[in-house]
Order: sequence, then structure tokens, then C-alpha cells
Amino acid sequence: MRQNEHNHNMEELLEQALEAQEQGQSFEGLLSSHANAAQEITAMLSVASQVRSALTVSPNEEAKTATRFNVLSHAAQRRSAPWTHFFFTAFMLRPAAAVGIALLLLAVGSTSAVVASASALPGEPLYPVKTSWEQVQIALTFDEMAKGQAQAHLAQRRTEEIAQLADQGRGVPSDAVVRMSAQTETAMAGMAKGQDLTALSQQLADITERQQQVLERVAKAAPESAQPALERALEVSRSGHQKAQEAIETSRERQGRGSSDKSDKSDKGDKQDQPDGGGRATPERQNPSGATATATPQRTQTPVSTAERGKTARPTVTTTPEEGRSRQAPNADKTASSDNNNGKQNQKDENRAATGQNDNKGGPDLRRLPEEIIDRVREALGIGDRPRQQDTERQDKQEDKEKKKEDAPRREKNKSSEQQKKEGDSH
Amino acid sequence: MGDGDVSDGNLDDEMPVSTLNVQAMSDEALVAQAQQRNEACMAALYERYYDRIYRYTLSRLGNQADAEDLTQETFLKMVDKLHTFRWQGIPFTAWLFRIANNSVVDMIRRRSRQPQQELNEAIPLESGKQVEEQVEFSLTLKEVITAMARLTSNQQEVLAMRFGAELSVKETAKALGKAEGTVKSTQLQALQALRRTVAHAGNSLS
Repeated sequence: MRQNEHNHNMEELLEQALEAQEQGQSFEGLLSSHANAAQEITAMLSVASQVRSALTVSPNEEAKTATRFNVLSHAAQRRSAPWTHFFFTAFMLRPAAAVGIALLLLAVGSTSAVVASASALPGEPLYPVKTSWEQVQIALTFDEMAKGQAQAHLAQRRTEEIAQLADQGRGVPSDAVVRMSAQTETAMAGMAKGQDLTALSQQLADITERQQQVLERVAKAAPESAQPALERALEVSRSGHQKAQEAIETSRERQGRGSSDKSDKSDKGDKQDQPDGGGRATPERQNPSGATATATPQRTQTPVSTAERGKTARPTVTTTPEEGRSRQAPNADKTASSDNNNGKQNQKDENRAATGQNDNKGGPDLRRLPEEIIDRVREALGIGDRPRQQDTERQDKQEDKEKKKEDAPRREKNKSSEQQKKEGDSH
Repeated sequence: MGDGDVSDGNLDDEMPVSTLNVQAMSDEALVAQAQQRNEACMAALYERYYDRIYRYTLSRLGNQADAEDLTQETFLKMVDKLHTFRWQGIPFTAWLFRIANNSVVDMIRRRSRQPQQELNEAIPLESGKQVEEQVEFSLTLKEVITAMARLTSNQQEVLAMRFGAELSVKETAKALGKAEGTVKSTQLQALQALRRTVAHAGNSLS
């Protein structure tokens, strides 16, 4: 009985002392009237303080941003049609099941809705289909670089959607602003992962610059009550722009340092096969006329650890399976055309086209997605290969080799007969 | 609606995000708006609780990747179940941590079916530390997690909620579905046990 009472007193005393400690108050006065328990309580308070301090860890910002994007996207999907919610959830939680669902949906021809949703804007009935489909692409993108680019594409797409709504004099849903900011943060978080930092950083710098223009324009016409929300979104854009600029500077400095070493190598390097492009068709070979922007789609796939572990999907973003294809988002075209930035962008596009670089401005071309997805699903499920350009090429090369082999004796024969002829002439 | 207006989203029952200073809003107000599918309020709830949920899961699981995954799982469940939440006797904080705790329990159960890694390794205190000088040294996260792994499941729950997630005794009790007295009692036992564990580790090094 006395033991119980003692324990109860200790519990209460400890709790009071913990509260005082938490609030930064002195607990010595509290313990002075409990001399017999004071030493033990003090020791426990010390341990509690150590535990509290040790557990006050800062989460990984990248993971936090990624989860934020997933959670908000999940919430957005719940607002939409039940089947899109199911679709999205399946992809987020069970990547393997998601692949099966994608196959099923393709089989029943539901992609027509996806194609139709390509130009949907926030608030329109097909918009959830569009964002769901983006998540499908995300789930099926495994290459880190492609993910980074795809994140940037989505941020740009969200920006242009808002610009287009403003162009049309329509209201900008609050969701759209929040979604754009979340997507921008995710894209910025992905920047650190990218290998080709300069290109991605430049892309993000352009996007965030454009975002600021769009947001400022929207803010001009928005009521006073809307300003704080828009200011928050602007802050995300400004911060993102600054980070992107810093990344570009850093990258340039590195390049500057290494330029003298690289100058000799670069000429040689140009002649060598690119590490990731060795097995692909070179645009020149495919199309000597110079229309190199339609090179074979890049298809680098490395299963991510989360997929292997069957964990919840990270905020991967839509792929750029359509890399190398000339495509532009319908939304982006109209809005960008009225923008001051457009000239600059067009110049870049021309440069890219001239250099054979991909134009990812508009993001994935949804009209081309079914084929891409079918390929990916086939690969993921290991159900055989659809004949692909790369494969065809390889086959062509093989045939060339065989032909050369066959021709070799004939050439040898011709050579020797020519030699004999020469010798005969000389005699 | 004029050019560039920030409207109230697609649903009639959603308040314009612009009229809400989400950071200053109470949990109750945020939840009410989030239940009406206001994305800004949903985002605010996420920001408000992410770190605490993460610390709770980390202190229970001792693994960053698992903690991140379970934190995400907790918020996804929150999104799914938020419409069922009612302010009837249980605060939102407790409701959310109940979800987190259930997820943790599920994961621990799944882990128990897999080969266990050795958790009984000695707690690596820095050389020269004396447990009696506790105020002057600080336990690392690894030391704390290793020490907590030796406590009972109930004790871990309470310590993780009280000192990881910074919940009050009342909130902890609600989240765990226990009486406040039980939480206080468990808290005392947990700290006593933890103190002994740390002292033992310290003595073995001194």
C-alpha cells in the first residue's frame, strides 16, 4: 500500500518536474520538499533531457518534400473520380500492382480519356485524369536523370496551366497554386540528384523565372485576400530560382577549372561513342537531312531500390520517355506565345533543335504515351519485347556484319585478281 | 471572376485559400477546412506534424528509411480517413498519432517474422563519460535508440510520444487509448529502466 503511494507520488513528481523542465523552469524548488526522491528524479530528468535532445532530429528535407508532394497529390486524387483515386493509390503503394493495373487499363482502352485529358486545365473534369496519368509515368520512371527532368517538366506544366487560366480570364483555383509550388519544391529537391546539373539547373531557373512572371501577373488582378497565398507561392519560386542560379554558378566554376584539361580531350571525346548513347541510333545515321530531334527515345531503366523493396513509391515524376521527340504541350504553346520570355525560349528551342537536343518544353506528349507505357509494362512484367527501333538497328548491324563476312572472300578474290592483272600489265 | 482571380477551388464548399492564414489557424479549423478538401489546409496540417510524426517513427523503428516510409504512410492514411474524424473526445494530434502508432505496430509485427538484427549490443558511450555526470554529456541518437530498444513496447511508445513527438501526457494517453495515470506510471518505469541501461553501459566503459 505504502509502496503504491510512493510510486504514485514519484510519478506525479516526475511529471511535474518534466513539465517544468520542458518549459525551461527550475524544478529545484519542486524537489526541495522531496529530499528522498530528489536524487532519483534529478537523474531521470537528466536522462529525459538527453533523450529529448537526441530525438530532436531534423528530417531529410528531400524526403519531406517528396512525401509532401505524394500526400498532396493523393489528396487531390481523392477529390477526383474514384477510379483515378484507385489508379493513383495503386501506383503509389504497390508499384508491381500498378504495372498490372496499367496493363489492364490499356487492355480495356481507357487511354482515350488520357489522351483527351492532355489539354485539361485545373478545375476541368478531365484534369484529374491528366494528373493521374502523370503519376503513372512517374511510377514507371526509373532513371534518376529522367526523373529530375520530368519533375521540372511538371513544374513548368503547372505554371503554364495557371498562365493559361489567367489568359482566358478564368479563376485560378487555389489547388493549382498549391500544386505548382509543391511541384516546384519537388523539382528543386530533385536537382541535387541530377548528373547534368547545368542543363537541369538552367531549366529550373527558366521555369521559376516564368513562374514569378505568371504569379505576379495573377497577383495584380487578384483581391487583397489572395495576396498572402500568392506571396507564399512567389517565395517558393524566388527561392527555387536562387538555388538554381547558384547551382549553375557552381557548375560553371567547376567547368572553368576543368576546361584546360578538357580542351584536348573534347575533340577526341566527340569522336568517341557517348557512354549512354553507344547502343542507340545516332541521329545522323538515321536521318542525314539533319532532323535529329526525332532520335530514338531514350530508354534507360534502372530499377530503384524502393521498387525492389516494395516500399511506398517516392515522388518520382513523370518520365520523359518521349525524349528526343518533338513535342509541345498545347497549354504551353498558347500562353508562352504571349509572353516576353517567349523570344528567349524560342531561341533556346531553335538552338536545341539545331544541336539535336531534345525539346522537353511541353513535357511528355500524352498522345504518344500508350506505346511508351506498353513498352515499360512489357519490360516490367518480362513478357517479351515489342520490336523496337534499337532492336531493329542492332539487327541491321548484325545483318551488315554477316553481309560483310559473306563479301569478304569475294573481295579477297577480286583483290587477288586485280593484283594478278597489275602484275600482268607490268610484265 | 476577373483575370487572375484566385478562386476557391473547384468545390463550392471550399474556402478560398487566400482568405485563410493557415499558419495561424488552430488544428480544429485546419481539419475542418481539410475535410472540405481544402488543399492548402491539408498542406498546413502536413507541415505542422511531419517532423513530430517522423521523430516518433524514427525513435520506434531506429531506421531512417523505415521512418520516412511510415511517416508517408501515416499521412496518406490521414488523407484517406480525415473525413471520418470528429471532434469527440479525442484531439486531432492524438488521432493522428494513433494512426502512426498503428502503422509502427504493424511494421514491428512484420519485422518480427523476419530475422532480427542484434539489438543487444553495448551502448557506445564516448570514452571517459561518467553516467553520474549525465548533465555534461549528451547521448547520441543511436545510443538512445539502442537503449530504447531494450525497453518494453509500452515503454517505448510512451517515451517516443513524450520525448520524440513532444506530446503531453494527456495527448499520449488519448493516442494510446490508455489512462493518464497509466502513461505516467509507464513513463516513470521507462525512465528508470533507461537510466539503469545507460548507467550500466557507462560503468562498463569507465
